[in-house]
Amino acid sequence: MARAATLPRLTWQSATLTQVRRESSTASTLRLDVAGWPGHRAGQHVDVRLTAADGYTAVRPYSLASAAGSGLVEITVATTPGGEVSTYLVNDAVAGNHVEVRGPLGSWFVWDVSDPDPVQLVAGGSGVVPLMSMLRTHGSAGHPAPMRLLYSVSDPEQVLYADEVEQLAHAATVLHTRHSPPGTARPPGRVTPAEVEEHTLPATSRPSVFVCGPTGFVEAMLTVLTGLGHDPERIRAERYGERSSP
Amino acid sequence: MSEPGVVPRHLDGNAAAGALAELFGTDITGAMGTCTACGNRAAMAETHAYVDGPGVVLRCHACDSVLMRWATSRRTTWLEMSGLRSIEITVAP
Ligand SMILES: Cc1cc2nc3c(=O)[nH]c(=O)nc-3n(C[C@H](O)[C@H](O)[C@H](O)COP(=O)(O)OP(=O)(O)OC[C@H]3O[C@@H](n4cnc5c(N)ncnc54)[C@H](O)[C@@H]3O)c2cc1C
Ligand SMILES: [Zn+2]
Repeated sequence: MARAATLPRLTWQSATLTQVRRESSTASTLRLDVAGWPGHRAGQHVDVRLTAADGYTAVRPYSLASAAGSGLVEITVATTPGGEVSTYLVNDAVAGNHVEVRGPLGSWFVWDVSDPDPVQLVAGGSGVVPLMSMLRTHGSAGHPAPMRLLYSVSDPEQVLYADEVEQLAHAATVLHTRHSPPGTARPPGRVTPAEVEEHTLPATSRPSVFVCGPTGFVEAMLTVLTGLGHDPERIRAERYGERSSP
Repeated sequence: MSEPGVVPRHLDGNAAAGALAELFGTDITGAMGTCTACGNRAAMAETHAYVDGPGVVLRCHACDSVLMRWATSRRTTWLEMSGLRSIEITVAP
């Protein structure tokens, strides 16, 4: 029944939180145990459904952070101030809790090791989550093509996966929008078109480009990237909305 | 760059992947849809999605016309997709 294994799971499934790791002052990574998880592709997400005692439900999408092929189901959630689902998952959820998930979802905002081209990743805030799945997948496969990350984040405390990003060395550039770490020359501020040009693979190398983050950030980056000559057909974007963590 | 002071409210078709899979029985974010109004052809993931109303609305990212909208209650789904001329769904081998 090889075919059955590839059928998408459309039903809500119970998932048990098996581990909660603090990722930053406002974000946590949650490991989920989902019976019969079929595996996922880097860039995919799951819908998470919470049900209150009175039957009220809330559904939100969360990207998978773990590498494709790792067998792990991990999401990283950053709190949206006042947010219904994110504050519960980050501040209250503990190992042993149950949630419902639907997924893995997404067949377009995905990167597979079979793609031989160089890859440029552009993240705004928590938009780094699916891109980290791509970096982890790329790293564990020892993929020969370059994969670079440009990561815009409000301040050093909000950086997700700080150790792993540091280990990427010059394959990653972190730019701060509100507070820069002490001793950096760049004043905090939005990423400029000149900075995008300086810190990303040139359009002439024809990279696949993945952009993810708050909607305003994504729209701005799409304009900059096409302005730098990237083929719009090679750019894939995922918008988290304006109330996701910037 | 987006207009200063204008907060874009939309998500994109990726955010609707789960709800779309419920309608179509498979993930269609990679399916190519053609807009009735302007003829633009794009992946369903590239549509602009509005999910904060009572249902979901997907608009063409080129001309902003409504491609699809639907609302689901416990027993009934109402779906309108006259703005979508065609959709090409390729199932993985
Ligand atoms: C494809 C996708 C992947 C995401 N991945 C991550 C991630 O990895 N980590 C992370 O921290 N955040 C992620 N987000 C954002 C996340 O889904 C929530 O929007 C965020 O956590 C705020 O939810 P809340 O309930 O705390 O806030 P609320 O204030 O209660 O809601 C915030 C916003 O979510 C919108 N919303 C409501 N229902 C839905 C729905 N069904 N689908 C989409 N949006 C809805 C509302 O319109 C509101 O503007 C992702 C968003 C998308 C679209
Ligand atoms: Zn159109």
